[in-house]
Amino acid sequence: MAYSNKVLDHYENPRNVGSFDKEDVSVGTGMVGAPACGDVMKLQIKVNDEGIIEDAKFKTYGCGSAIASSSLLTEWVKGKSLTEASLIKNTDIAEELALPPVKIHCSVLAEDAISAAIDDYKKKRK
Amino acid sequence: MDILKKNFFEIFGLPVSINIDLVRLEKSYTSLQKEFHPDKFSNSSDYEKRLALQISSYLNDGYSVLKNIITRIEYILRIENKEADENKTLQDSNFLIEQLELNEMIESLKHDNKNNSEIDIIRKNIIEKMDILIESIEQGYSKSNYESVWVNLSKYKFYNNHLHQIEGLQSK
Repeated sequence: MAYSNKVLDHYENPRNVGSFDKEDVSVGTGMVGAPACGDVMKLQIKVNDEGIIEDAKFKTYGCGSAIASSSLLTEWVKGKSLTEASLIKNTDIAEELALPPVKIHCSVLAEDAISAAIDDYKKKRK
Repeated sequence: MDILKKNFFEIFGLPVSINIDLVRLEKSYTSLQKEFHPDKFSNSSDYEKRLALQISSYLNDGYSVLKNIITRIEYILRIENKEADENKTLQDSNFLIEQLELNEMIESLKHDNKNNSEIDIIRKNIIEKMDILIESIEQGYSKSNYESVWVNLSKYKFYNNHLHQIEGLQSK
């Protein structure tokens, strides 16, 4: 299957690969898996006192589209508030990366990962 | 014809169940496939020929769906109208961390030529976990807890992928 240039770019030069300390109270961790293909995505956000996402990191085991979806998402969420970040939809990611229908689930994985990361951060702050 | 309206379990005379009698499935399938084999309809009308072909391919579908435990469980969920969205994600962190570790372990086994006995230990360990998951799926299903069936089936699929990768290493 042919990947779009944007997918290839993120796949070959993934942005923000890595991890934060998940015990840090300013860090939210989202971990999600896609049963259909076995992809696993870990997405972490570092949030400052104003509730702005200062930094984001990811680690994804999966196909090029899954890696590109998480790489793109980490770029997008930086500088956004939690509410703004939670409004990112999988369709935005799929459109930006020109994902074919069989790879839409990769963008769903990314959307679920950011929302799980936000939930985790909020839970810690309570 | 009525046979096309029956679900796959009914066709092969099996109870709707997660564990089925595979020998009976095989026998049932072979005898039905003989009965509706397109060759038997060479002197029939076009309509009957077409019908025989339809039934024959329906039998093939049913057989392959029921033969495999993953597709069989998914089919049960479909019959019960409890099918989950195919894009639904699994969010059990501890389980997923274990999966990432397994990925890394398998990846490293690919590179250095580990002995087969080590691979075999990992393989047996995965099979054990898969067996336990099937028991949990049966329990969930008996209590009509379809969310738990979905979660455990999803986990089963993750292990199944790993199992295939490991068996691929062994056959090399």
